[in-house]
Amino acid sequence: MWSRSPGAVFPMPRSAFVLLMLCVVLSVYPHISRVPQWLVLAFAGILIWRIQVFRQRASFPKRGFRFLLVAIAFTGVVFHHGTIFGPEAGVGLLITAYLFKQLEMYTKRDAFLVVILSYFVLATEFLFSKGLFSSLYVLVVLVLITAALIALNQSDSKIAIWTPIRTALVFLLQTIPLLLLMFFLFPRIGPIWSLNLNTKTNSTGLSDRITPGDIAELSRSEKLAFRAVFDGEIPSYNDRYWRAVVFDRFDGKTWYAVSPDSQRPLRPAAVVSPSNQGYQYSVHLQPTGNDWLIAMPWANISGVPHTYTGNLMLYSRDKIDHPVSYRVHSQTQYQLDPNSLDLDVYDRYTQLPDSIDPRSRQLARTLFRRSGLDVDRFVDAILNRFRSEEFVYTLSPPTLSGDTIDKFLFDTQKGFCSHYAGATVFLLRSIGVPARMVGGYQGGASHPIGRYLLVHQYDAHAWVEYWQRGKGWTRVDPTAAVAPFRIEMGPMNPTADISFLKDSPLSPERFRNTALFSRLRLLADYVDYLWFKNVVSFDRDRQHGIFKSLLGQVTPKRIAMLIAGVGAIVFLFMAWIILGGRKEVNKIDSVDRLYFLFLKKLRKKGVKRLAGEGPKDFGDRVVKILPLQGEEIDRITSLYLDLKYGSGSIKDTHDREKKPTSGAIGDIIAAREEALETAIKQLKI
Amino acid sequence: MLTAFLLFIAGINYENTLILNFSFLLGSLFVVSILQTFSNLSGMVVTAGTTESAFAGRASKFTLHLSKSRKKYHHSVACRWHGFYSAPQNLINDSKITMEMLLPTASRGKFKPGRLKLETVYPLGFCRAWTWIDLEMSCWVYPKPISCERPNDLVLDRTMGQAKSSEGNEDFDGLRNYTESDSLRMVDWKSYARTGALFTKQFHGYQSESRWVDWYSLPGQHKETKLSNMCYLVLEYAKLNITFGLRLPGLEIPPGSGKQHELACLDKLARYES
Repeated sequence: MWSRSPGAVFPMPRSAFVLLMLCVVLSVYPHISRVPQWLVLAFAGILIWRIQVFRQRASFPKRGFRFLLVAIAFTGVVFHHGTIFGPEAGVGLLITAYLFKQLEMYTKRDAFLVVILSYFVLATEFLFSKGLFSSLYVLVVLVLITAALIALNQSDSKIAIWTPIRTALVFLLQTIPLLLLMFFLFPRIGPIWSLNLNTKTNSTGLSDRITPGDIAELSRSEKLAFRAVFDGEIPSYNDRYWRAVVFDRFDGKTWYAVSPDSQRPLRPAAVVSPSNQGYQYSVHLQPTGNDWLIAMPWANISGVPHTYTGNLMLYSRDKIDHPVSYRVHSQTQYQLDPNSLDLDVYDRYTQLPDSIDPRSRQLARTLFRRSGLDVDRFVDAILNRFRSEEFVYTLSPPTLSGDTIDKFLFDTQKGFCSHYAGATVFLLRSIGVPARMVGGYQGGASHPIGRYLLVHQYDAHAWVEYWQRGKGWTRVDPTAAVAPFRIEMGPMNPTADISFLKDSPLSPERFRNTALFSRLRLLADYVDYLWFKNVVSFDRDRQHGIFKSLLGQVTPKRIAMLIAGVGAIVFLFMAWIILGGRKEVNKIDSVDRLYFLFLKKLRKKGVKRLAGEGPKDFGDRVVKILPLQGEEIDRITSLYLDLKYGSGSIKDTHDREKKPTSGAIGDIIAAREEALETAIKQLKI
Repeated sequence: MLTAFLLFIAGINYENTLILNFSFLLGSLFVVSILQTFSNLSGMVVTAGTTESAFAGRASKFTLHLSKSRKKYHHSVACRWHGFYSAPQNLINDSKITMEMLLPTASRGKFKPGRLKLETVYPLGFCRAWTWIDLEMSCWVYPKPISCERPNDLVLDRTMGQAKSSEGNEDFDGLRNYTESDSLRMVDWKSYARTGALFTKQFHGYQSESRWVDWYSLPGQHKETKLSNMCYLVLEYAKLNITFGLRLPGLEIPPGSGKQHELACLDKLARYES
């Protein structure tokens, strides 16, 4: 081992140190929310310490003390995460190691290691985020880390900080051909060992239970839920019901989603679709942390492993921790279970807790009687009631307790979609009609450039499905009765509650009316969409498609040949870019170059050297033509002749290099060359 | 490269396209760095400069000129020569720089440090580009000065042979045992005939204005020691500003003084072969 005493510290160039510290901060920055807060403080402390060491105001900590600090920090991180497995804990430990490495950065090797660790810490950002903007951020920091590496390896201590940055940028541009090659052709193999990604995504998706109040929270989030890219026609706004989850159990306060285990798979005969017409589209779903897939029913899905359950819910095999894309064919004209319901299913969808909300039950009986025991007319009566009485659609309703349905229907009469849907399901069930609340999204903004729909979290919605013999399950949206604008124009309608975005004063939605901002926002989303579609979701299948179209038949041998062939071309291209193309200074002898300058000057005056005319003859002739400058021209000619064909030991450049012992002659020649140069430059004709 | 590989494994295992891309980027960066490191060295012209002679055991200064042949920069190029490293040199704004290498010499005579190696790890330190160059540079190494008594306190102007006999003021001083390096002219053949043993005649001369650093005046010693002693004397006289001449077997520099003279004498000492 080398010396570890602080005296033997590698004198890092200032620019390298500044860049390195910048990289440390920037590569850790995105992880700040994922590591314990005390680690962030420790991070700040360590950086200040390291900077003081650099300024020679402090010294490196003693070995024992450092060990103690590292041990405490590691224990703390493990304790914080409760495990050493999983991305968060792993990144936490990596960052801890990375931080403490700052305090033992003595040698150039240590600094090199810090740079390598920076690359690592930076790359782990992709475990948590895959958006275009975090990718751009990573790219920028990558340039800076590379610049720090360059600054470490150069030895000009006065170099400006932007010089290595510029060089790094050039290098990154030079990687593009190879990067593209690797991106498209480097064989993607499956996972070598399986990893359980327990990423806690901060998803604001739908939850598996609704207590009034939940969706109000959700509505304030302007995060993207998913994009739907249509092949052809886009359905009209009020037909866009994106179904995700079914809430079937009610305990008097909260609606619970079924667990997939309690559901049998969908029987193929259960769905009757009169026509094959419908919508073809792709859904690019953002991470939700749940396993529900979202589509307009009745949907045929391909591209992601899933199961269909009897209540028409789509369960993905894996939790959606990553962005997922799948193809959908939706036939919106369909009938589900039109003829009969199994008894257990019937029981499930008529379940209500005993003896709650007596007034609502009474109301349901009265309305049902008045509608002549017809379910459709009964539903109309409920909707009419919402429409005609003093019901208000609001996202910040009063809280409800006790008999919540009674309170809502008779006292407060203020609420949002899940209040209305919940009350409707309650009324239907109380007279024995199977009904369920459905959660999902309604609407979505169509993107002017990309021919796709953007569905945000604030589009989250709840509606009702009820069952009748002969018709099957029918969708009804009670919110449409009380707040038609919510369905026709979306939750961003100006008449919507002003408190809508009260939690985020700087929300971009506040600037929604600014046309320019809106366009920029849409454009940014489009670029982000293209990024996801073409880069993030480029996987083995897509690569296989490329191989297939290029090779016809995909065999390992052909793939190897393709990669070798294209690789060789790309490498030669890079070599040509990097190594070639720069002008040579000494293609001709420097003496000749000076003489050419002289000839050029004379040519401008109309004095041309004739073919085969030696420099001496030419010189003499020029003196005759330009007698005034005779002296200078003679001097130039003689210096040139001396340097070029000089007598004695002065030979041409080639010889000069081979006669090193006569080094002093080299200096004499240099002096004469300089004299020739000045003479030619000062020559005024 | 290891980083790229580890990230590649991570990217595959997490089925994370972006981590994979990151590893591809680092891999490409590695390839670029190979080319760039090579490019950093290529197109550099190394020209031999002057060399300075030195006393044996001391460092001799070798001057090299580094220049560009293309319009580009050369960063942090270090020279390794004869086991010695130079500080990294930059050819950025200057088109030509001069670097000096102090190479330690071992023994008198011609010093050839052999091939030199130019190397660089710039820009990323991932790999090293190097080249061996033989500039056939050499220098003469003077003998290491070893102090000795000036023969007879003052150096004798002793004449040997015909040419110098005109100055002959020497007196016979006595006989001593013959050593190999003694001239046969000084052997007392008469006593050899008499006794069968070789004796060398020793003479005693008078002080004169110009003195001689004389191979023969230094009584029989080892050749290199003798040269070292002569070197010492040359330096001594030059320091005292005394006019002196140099006499080696088959070679003579007439008395003179000044730096030029001193260097000429030292040069002869360095080159002395037999």
